[in-house]
This record gives sequence, C-alpha cells and structure tokens, in this order.
Amino acid sequence: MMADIRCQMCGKLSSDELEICPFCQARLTPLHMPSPSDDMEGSDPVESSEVNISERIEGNQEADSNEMDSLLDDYIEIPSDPAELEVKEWLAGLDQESNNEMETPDLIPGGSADTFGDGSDDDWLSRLNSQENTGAEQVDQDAEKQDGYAEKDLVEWLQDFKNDDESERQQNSQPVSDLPMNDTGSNDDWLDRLQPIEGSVSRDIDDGVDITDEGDLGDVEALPESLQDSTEGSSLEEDIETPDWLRNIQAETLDLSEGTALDEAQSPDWMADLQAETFPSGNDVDSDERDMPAWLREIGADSLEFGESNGSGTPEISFEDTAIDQGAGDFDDEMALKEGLVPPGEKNQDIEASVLEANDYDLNSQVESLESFRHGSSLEKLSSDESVAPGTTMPSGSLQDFTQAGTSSDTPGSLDLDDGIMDDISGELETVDLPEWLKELKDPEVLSSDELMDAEVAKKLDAIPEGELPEWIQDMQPVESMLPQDEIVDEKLNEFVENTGPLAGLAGVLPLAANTETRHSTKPYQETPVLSGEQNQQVELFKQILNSESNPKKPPLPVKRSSQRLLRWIVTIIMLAAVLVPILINYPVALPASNYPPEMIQVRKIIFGLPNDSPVLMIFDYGPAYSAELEAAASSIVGDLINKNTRLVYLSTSPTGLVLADHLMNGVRSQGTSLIDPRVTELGYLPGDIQGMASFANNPSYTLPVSTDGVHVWEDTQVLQDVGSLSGFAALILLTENSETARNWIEQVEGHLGNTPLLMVASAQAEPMIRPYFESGQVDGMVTGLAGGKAYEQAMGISGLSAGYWSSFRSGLFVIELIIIFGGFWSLFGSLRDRKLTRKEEV
Amino acid sequence: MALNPTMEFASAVISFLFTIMILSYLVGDNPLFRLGIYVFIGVSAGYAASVAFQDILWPKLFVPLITGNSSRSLFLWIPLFMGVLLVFKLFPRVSRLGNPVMAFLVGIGAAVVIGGAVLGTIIPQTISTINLFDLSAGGSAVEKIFESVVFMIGTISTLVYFQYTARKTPQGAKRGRFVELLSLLGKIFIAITFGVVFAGVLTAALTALVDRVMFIWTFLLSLI
Repeated sequence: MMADIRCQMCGKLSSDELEICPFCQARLTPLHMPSPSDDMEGSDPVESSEVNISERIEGNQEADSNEMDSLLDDYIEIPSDPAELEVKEWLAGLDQESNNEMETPDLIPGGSADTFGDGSDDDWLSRLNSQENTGAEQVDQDAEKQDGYAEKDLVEWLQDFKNDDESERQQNSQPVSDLPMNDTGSNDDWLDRLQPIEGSVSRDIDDGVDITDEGDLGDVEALPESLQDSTEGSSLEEDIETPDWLRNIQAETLDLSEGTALDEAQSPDWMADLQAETFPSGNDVDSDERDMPAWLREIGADSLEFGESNGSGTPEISFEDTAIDQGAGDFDDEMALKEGLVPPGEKNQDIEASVLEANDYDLNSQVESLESFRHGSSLEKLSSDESVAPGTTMPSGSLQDFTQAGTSSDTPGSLDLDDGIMDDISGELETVDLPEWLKELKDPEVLSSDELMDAEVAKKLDAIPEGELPEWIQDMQPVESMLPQDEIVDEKLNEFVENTGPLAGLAGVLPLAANTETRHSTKPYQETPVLSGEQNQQVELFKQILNSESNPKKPPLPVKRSSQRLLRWIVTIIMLAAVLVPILINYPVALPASNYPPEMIQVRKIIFGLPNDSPVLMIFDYGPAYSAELEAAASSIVGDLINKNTRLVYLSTSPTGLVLADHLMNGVRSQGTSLIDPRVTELGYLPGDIQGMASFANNPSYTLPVSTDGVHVWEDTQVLQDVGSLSGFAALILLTENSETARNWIEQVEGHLGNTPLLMVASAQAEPMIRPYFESGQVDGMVTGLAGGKAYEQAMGISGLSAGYWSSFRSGLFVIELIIIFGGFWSLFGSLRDRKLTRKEEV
Repeated sequence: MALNPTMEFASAVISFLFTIMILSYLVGDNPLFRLGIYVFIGVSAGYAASVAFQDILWPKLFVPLITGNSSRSLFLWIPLFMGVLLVFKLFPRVSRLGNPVMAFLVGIGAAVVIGGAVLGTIIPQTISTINLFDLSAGGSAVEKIFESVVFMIGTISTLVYFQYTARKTPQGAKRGRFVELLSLLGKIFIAITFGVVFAGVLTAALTALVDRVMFIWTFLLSLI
C-alpha cells in the first residue's frame, strides 16, 4: 500500500513516490544539501530549493500569495520585539502588495498574519501548513483588502513570530532538520536555531556598518522541508543587493540573541548552504549553491552576519521609524510600484499593475528600493500575487534579508518583534538614498506591547491618508462628467473594466488592446483630385473667366437708334402745310346738314327758345390751352345770347376763367356777331372746387353775393332781382374742357336746376365722358369742339370763328388720319420683321 | 373790356413771341421753350394768387374782420384760425397742427363727392340704362334693342373688368371663365373709349394748332 505524504505547502495528501506535489508543485521530500563526500549526482536540495524558488519567483503572474507567504515563513521568523514587528509589517505589506498588484510568487507561504496563527501556536511549520491550506483563501482575502493593507493580519503574523521567539528563546538551538515539519501544533523557530556563520561579519546597525557582506547561510539541510523546498528553483540574479534595513534587522537580531552565535552546526543546513553559495569566501558552500537566487544568498549572508556581529545570535534591528508609526505621507507611486509595494489605502491597484506591466517591473530596482527602506513603512503586505505585475518577483533582497534578520533574540538571524525589537531600535543608521515617500514618513512610535502595537498600528494605519495618483495619470483619466449621460449605455461595455493603460480601473471604456492593435496607416490622399468631365469643363470655364479678367473688354456699342428729330420735322412740316394751305387758299368747306349732331341741335333749339332779357348763367371752367377750341365753339352761342338781350352772369371755379371769359366777350364783339352790347355780370371767382359748386348750387346769392364790381347783383333788380336760385336762371351753360369738372357740376346742380336747361360747351376730349349724361337727360344740349361750333354756326346761318378754322382743321385732321394709318402699317410690318429675326436667332 | 391798339399790338407781339418759343420745341428742348413754359406757369400762379386774395381773402375775410360787425367777425376768426393751421402743413415739425383742418376739409369733400356721385351719377345713369329698354320711348325697336344690348354689355363688361376677385389654383390665382370672358369684352369697350378720348385730345390739339398758325399768319400779315 502506497503511503501518502502530506504536502507541506498545501497540506494535501499525495503519494510518497512523488517528489513534487501535484497540487501546489512543492517538493514533498526535502532537499538535502550534499556534503563534499556525498554523491554529487544526487539531488541537490539547495539547487532544488533554488529551482523551486526561482520557479515561484519567475513563475506565473497569478501565483498564489500564500506561496509567497509560505516561502517567507520558511526563511524568516519575525521577532517579537517592535523592530521585528516592524519587519513583519513590512513583510506583510510586501506580501500584500505582491498579491494585489504584482504577480510575484509567494516567497513566504501564507504571508498574512492569520497564517502565522494566533500567536499561541509555537509550531511555525504547522502554521506554514495552514498557510498552504488557506493559500487560496488568502488570495481572496487579500483581494478584498485592496483598499488598505491588512494591518491586522500583519500584526498577528508578527506577533506569532514574536511569540515563537519568546517561547524558543530558552530552547537550545536545534538543527533545522531535526524540527518536525508537519506538526501543525508546533512552532519551531528555525531562525532561532540559526547561528552566525563563522567568518561572517555581523554588523551593528548602530555602528552604521554595512552588513551586506556575504556570509554563509548555514547548512541547508537544517532547514525545514518547507524551507528547503522553497529554496528550490531559485534563479534570482546574483547582483541583487541586500536592503540596508534588512541588514540592520539582521544585525540587531543577532545582537539581541544574547550572545547566541550562529554556528555552522546550529544554523540550518539550508541556510548554511545558502550562505556558502552566496558567500563563497570563507564557507564551504558548493559551487552549485551559487546557483541559488541572490536574494536568498543575501539572506543567508546577512543572517550569518548578524550572528557574527552580535555574538548572541540575537539580531539587533534598529529602526528609526517603523511603518506603524509612520504615516503614509507622500508615497511615490512609481517607486512603490517598482518595489512592488502598494501605498496604504491606495485603490488604484489596477493602475499600478498596468504601470508595472508597462514598465517591466525590474527586480533589481525593487530590491534597491527595499534596501533604502530601512525603516520600514506602513505598507501593505505583499500577500497577494494579483497585485504584482506579471513577470515580477519579490525583491530578492527581501527574502534574504528576512532570512538573515528573521531570527529571534535567541536564535541568530531571527527577528523577534516580541522582544521589543522596536524599542531597541535606535541609533543612527547609515545614510542611504531613501525614496521620497520614505523620507516623508514620520518616525514610528516605539511600541512596548503587542496590544499597544496593535492599537497604535491600527490607529496609524487609519490615519494614513490615501495615496494620490500622479498628475500625469490623473490627466489621462477620462472625466466622467464629460461623458454624455443620455447616450445609450452599452451594458457590456460598462461591464468591461480596463486593466491596462492609463484608463486602468475605469469601466465603460473601449478596450485598449482593440485600439492599439488595429493601427493602420492613413490612406494617402492624392495631391491632384480626380475630376469628372463636367467638373473639368467648369474648371476650364473658370480659368477662362480668370484669364479674361486681365484682358480689357470693349464696351458694347450702343444700339443705334434712328433719330426721331427728322420724323418730327417731317410731321411738323406736313401738318403746318395742311393747316396753312387752306388758310392761304381760303377754300371754304361746308359741313353737310345730315352731319349735325343731335346734341348741337338741342342747344340750338334751347337757345333759340330763350325769352328776351332772361338771365343766363355761364360757367367758364376751361384752361387757356383750350381757349381757341371753346371760343370757336361758344362764340356763336354767346353771340346769340347777346342778341337775345339776355343777362349774362358768369363765374368760374378757376382763377383764369374770368380772364378767358373777358377774352371771349371781346372776341364776340370783334367778330360782330352781337348787335348790341352784352349785359354781362361777373360774379367772380368761386373758390372751393366741389364744395364751392355745392354751396353755389344750394344758395348762389349767399355764395357769391357781390360781383367783381362790388355790386350786390342779387339785390339789384336790373340784374338778378328775380333770381333766387339756380332754377331762376333761364339756362345754365357750362364751358369746360375737363370731364371731371363737367361731372362735378352735373352732380352738384342735379337737384337744384328744376326746369332750367343745362347746356354744355365742351372740348372734344371731354365729349366721350360727358355724353352719357346727355344720353341720360341730365345735360340738355352739348356743343363739342370745333365741329360742334361749326355745326351750330352753319345751322344758325352765321359765319363765325369756327368757319375760319374749319378748312385748316379738316385738312389737318385728314393728314393726321393718314399719318396714323401709315404709322400703324409701318409698326405692324416692323414687328413682324422683328419676330422673324428673333425666330431666326433662336433657331 | 376793349384794348387800345397799342396794347393790342403789344399783346400780339408777346403772343407771337411766346408762340414761337413754344413751337421751338420742334428742334428739341431749348432755353426758349423753357422760358416760355416758366413764364406761363409763373404768370398763371401769380394771377391765381392775386385773384384769390383780391376776390376772396381780402373782401370776404380781412375787411369784415377789420371793419365788420363784432358778431360776424367772431365767426370769421374760425376760418382765419383754420387757415393759419393749414399753413403749418408746410413745415414738417409743426405739420401736425394742420391735421385737424385737413381732416375737416377731407371729410367735407368726401361727403360732397359721395353724395353727388350717388345722386348725380350712379342713380341717374342706372335709370338711364334701364330706360334704354323702354321701347315705347320712340324710335326703331330693333335699333333701340340693339343699342340697349350694346349699352348693357358694355356697362357690365366694363364693371366686370375691374373685378379682381379670384380663386386660388395650383397654377396661381385665376378668375372664372365667364368672368374672364366678360372682362375681355369690357377691355374692348375700355380700349375703344380710350381711343375716342385720344381722338378728342388730338382734335383739341389740332384746333389749337390751327388757331396758332392762323394767329401767326395774321400777325405777319399785319406787319406787312
């Protein structure tokens, strides 16, 4: 029956035939450091341990944080004194950081405080086992504690170490190999058994001596199996320097060990081997041991140095300040990331992880920063591998430092914080280039007891302000307020949380990988555009227009038009000839009787029927330009009225009417048409246009009471004593050339005339507009123009002014008719010709 | 009133000169023509102003105000005040003062015109148009009917021609077909009327020409 072996790391059973645990890949059987006489072909536990460590260090980015913690536990034991406690805290912080941000393999299995038990379990190996079992759980716990570092776990872990130191301080140092490996109830402090290696120089921190000398780490075989296993596969670089603080811790630990010197025989074999490998001078470490990781070698060297310097095996660690007492201060994020440390309270771990990824986390730089961190800080334990950047590993110096310094007061190289290492930490440390964030850390308070330490640590951790992202990272972050709120939310996109790049930690952004990987060069644009045929034509046209701008254009010649002056002269000559010739030849032309207009006949009838000495009102409302026509038409009528001994009363609504009236009267006298002197009464000018007409029509005596001579004609019995209104007149004769005036008079006197006939002597141009009134009976008779006057004279048998004008008028009228007809035909043919030309041009 | 021979000769000479000046427009616009026009316009305006003042303002407004009775003169202050306000219309800044007077004049004038138009034109012309169909008035019935129809059609078509009410159509505002036909007929009557008016104007102008030519010929003969 096959026996089962419980794995020291994960605690799971596996076959004894297996050398490596199938679950956690840890060695099931410890490695034995071969002696010079041993078979060199055998398995080299140191080598194997280095391989194992290297595998974990170079291992998977998602290494279990518990592995790191377990590894650390295998190599160091946190002293109980404050100095050791500070180391524990630092370690815890490193562990936490590694688990949260940097994917470094667990160097210390189960680095949380819980893994180290409640402080009462003295079996550190059992705690390691428990750590392995709870490795997976620890990862989750560490992931949850990203906002702050698990101070509590750290403290417990450190306390456990302290308790172990106290309990085993009085114990004799035992070879590490003799310690039970799988006993969960025991808690051997293997570090207590670590003895300073002869030849190594233990440095006193107070003296400020560099303790980075190489030393023999002791026999690796003395190491517990877990530690031996953890030392396998290590392939750290050898050029990693031990941090100063770790060296100091180791030195103080050795000082506090009460003279317990780390003897080669007492120190664990694995450590001795490590020391031998790391410090080839003065040790019998095989060359193969030099393949161990440098950080491991350094740890062994430091532990040896601590043992040698103190002589008591108690490392003295002096910390000027601890992480507990120190505030986080300004934490250099870059430095912390490089170191694999996470600022307390920092939440942007994803950003840090991405930065680390991008920056190719340098192990060397990380160790260097750890070296400068000799005071420890309130850092989160590097317990989570998730926080560690891929490909990054824990600083090699950390493990080495811990291995060297993590010895109890009784055991060289062990750190026992319970021994008041924190109180004993004093003195001046050598000046090193501390990171800025470390410089700004406050001096930690020295804690005297575990409870006080816990409380104070808890208080100070709470007081540590959150780290701030550098401005360049903050500037790269998109502002959520700028994001549109009403856009359609892509749930899948919001679920995506960016892990890399400057947008790490933000949700709802486009994946950086998609954008960065699909880069393509922009399409080269042609300098010369491709134009279509129509566009080319337009371009050519535009060029022609531009070119034509420089060429002066001749102004268009005006269209020659035939001068109208010649035509005007011709027409004038013709007209003058037509008018003058009849005058010259004095050829009388008679008007036929059938051509007498009926309206003229009515006028003749009325005039002929007027009684003698009847008052007749005559209204002269025509202009000087039409005086010739109207005088020619009205002179015979006025002559007949004068011959009838009528009382002529005339007025005018225009200022020039009275003058024209006088001219007419004079012309009648000069023509000899009247036989007696006319009895004329001039009422004068009637103002007001239509209102005056209306007023005169209503009350003529009131409107024009006095004549132009100043005589009250309406009261004089000889002129108008029997005339009270318009109906008292025998006739009303209106002389006008304007149809509007005639219409106004007709409208205003319509209801006031009674039986008084209204006669009109109108110009030929007003006759079309006045004739409807004659047709309607509102006007009793009308003599229109020269033709009407001629007809009246011919009908009356007299020869007046119209007869003299008639010949010229007839000839002139005939010529006008001919010109109109000829001009009509000329314009008709011209328009037709123009149409033909236009059609030809269009075609 | 009769003029003495000297005055008649002088008036004849002046008339001859102004006649020639106006007839010089045959060669185009010239200063003589302009002078003659300006003289005619100025003389007419001056004579009108003198007549208005001599025959209206002085004897009928100022003399009664100065020498007239107080009761009558009191009423005369109103037209005087209104006349002064009317003068303010010449100045833009104070033209508002003449607005009431203008409103008074426009109102009275509109009332007179509307009353005369209704009583003196619309009603009598309508009755006259209706009476055209009165065959008992005498004359040939056919001639009367034809004349009446022509009058009726001319009157209606002319009135329809000035009717601009139309319907909206996709092609635009258009009148009905019957309205368009009547308006076309009315356009013909209007065109004929305008032609007759033009003929009258031409006749009047010819008469004036004949008168002037005869005057010049007579004057020249008198000089010889």
